[in-house]
Amino acid sequence: MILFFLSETAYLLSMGTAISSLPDIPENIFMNPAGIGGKGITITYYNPFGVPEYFSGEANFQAFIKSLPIGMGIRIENVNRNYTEANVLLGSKFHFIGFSAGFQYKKSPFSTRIQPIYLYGFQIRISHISLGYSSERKGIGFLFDWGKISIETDDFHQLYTGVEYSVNKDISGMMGLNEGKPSFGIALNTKWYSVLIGFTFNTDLGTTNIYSVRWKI
Amino acid sequence: MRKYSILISLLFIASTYHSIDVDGVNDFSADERIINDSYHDSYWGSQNELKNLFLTWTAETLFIGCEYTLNNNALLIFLDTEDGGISNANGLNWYPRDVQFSGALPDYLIALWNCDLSLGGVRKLNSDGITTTPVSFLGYNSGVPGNENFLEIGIPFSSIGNPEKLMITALICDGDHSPAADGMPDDNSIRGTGSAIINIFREITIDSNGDGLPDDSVKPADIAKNVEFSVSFPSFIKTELSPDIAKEGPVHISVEISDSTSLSILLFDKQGKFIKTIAEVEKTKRFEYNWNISDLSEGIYILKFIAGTKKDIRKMAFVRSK
Repeated sequence: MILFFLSETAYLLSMGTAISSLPDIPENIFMNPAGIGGKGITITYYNPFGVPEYFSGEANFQAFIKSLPIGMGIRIENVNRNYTEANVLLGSKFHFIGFSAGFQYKKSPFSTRIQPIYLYGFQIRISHISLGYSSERKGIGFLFDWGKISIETDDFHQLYTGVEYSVNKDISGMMGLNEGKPSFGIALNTKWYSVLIGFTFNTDLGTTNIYSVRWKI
Repeated sequence: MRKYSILISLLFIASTYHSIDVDGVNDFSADERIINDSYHDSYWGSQNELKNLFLTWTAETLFIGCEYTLNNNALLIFLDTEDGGISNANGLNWYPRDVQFSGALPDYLIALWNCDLSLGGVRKLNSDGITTTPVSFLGYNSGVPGNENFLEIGIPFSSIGNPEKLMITALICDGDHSPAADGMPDDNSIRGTGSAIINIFREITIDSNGDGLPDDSVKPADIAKNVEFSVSFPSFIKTELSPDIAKEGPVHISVEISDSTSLSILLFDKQGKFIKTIAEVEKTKRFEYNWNISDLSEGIYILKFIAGTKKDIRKMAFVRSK
């Protein structure tokens, strides 16, 4: 089956969800597994649009087994106390090809269901340009010393763009457009961890603040 | 001797009642001017200005006079005489205007269009916020559009329930559902555009001892004072979905609002993308609705409830389950 857009972290949403062409991004386990890499754990929590009794959380793990990059993503949503939706994916990449597979768990007062889900993609880097293609997204990224620019689409109808600018090694800022909706974020980095705060704006439903903490192993 | 002193006393007291000839000539006295408004504060220029509001009475009749200039717009004088009345003039079936009230709830309206009293009159504003009932009155407007006008109105106290106290505000507005451009007393919410929330009124006590007779020894200008209320808007008391996780419909939506106002219920997907309007009601205080969810696919949805023009908003999550 096809996996639909599942990840929502401070970095992802600040970048307008345009990350599938960018390398070494933990959230790519849900977007383009060929874009995972590095080592670390990222924990995210937020309350979508401030809607009462609607909570979202996500955990992403990245590590190496020998020289093989592996990633794991767990995303959980709880709605109105009695509905829980969880998506769990485990993935890896080999050179420019990535694959992740897992399951979707849904528990409501009426049923408990588990469905398999999977995702595949590739990422090719040529100098400062990175091309990403997955069953979710098609995009192009530009990698610079000062940051990144990413432009993506899913079905060639919607456009997603993101820019990351590193002020220095301690602070970087992100901004993006997700189907025309603006988003901003800031990342504060130390040697061992990063704190990321993202803000997305929706004229109808208001602002969502997203908090992520990333530990570097 | 005592008889004479009582008679002299009665004559003296009676002389403070002032009967106005309702003929378009301003025969109110200076101490009956209860509001003196700047003649240069209208958002629509000097041809749409309020200037002075006069008020006095006899034992039987309340007299109101208004000096103003108007050009192809409406003059509205709202009176609050008792408990009840309206909080929003935009739903009225007579002279509806985009004006809300906080603190006082006007229950009478004197209105005219473009200096023509035959196109207006005096009506009671019923508490449903919609219907109005004509009230007997004597009125005369002198002047033509664009020039200084004088409106005189005499209303029998018996027609307005012999009020002990009045709260009053005068406004210049455009056509139906339009905003206000000038007001007296001045109110910061009047901007010539958008909904105004009037919370400053001129208050005048007519019957201070509550004996059913208007006071006979007062100067209206001396006892009139501005009263400013805090601004409050209709807000949700209850928004309920039953059930909030459903496999099949209908889902019962129950809404209660603190005051009668407009209500919209909108549906979004979990990414915040608008899907459709579930319900839209022009005026309601309690709203019950059976929502058919058969066209929704499985997933998490967000419902947005909007009450009134100041938009008290509530959001709720809903899950269509399988």
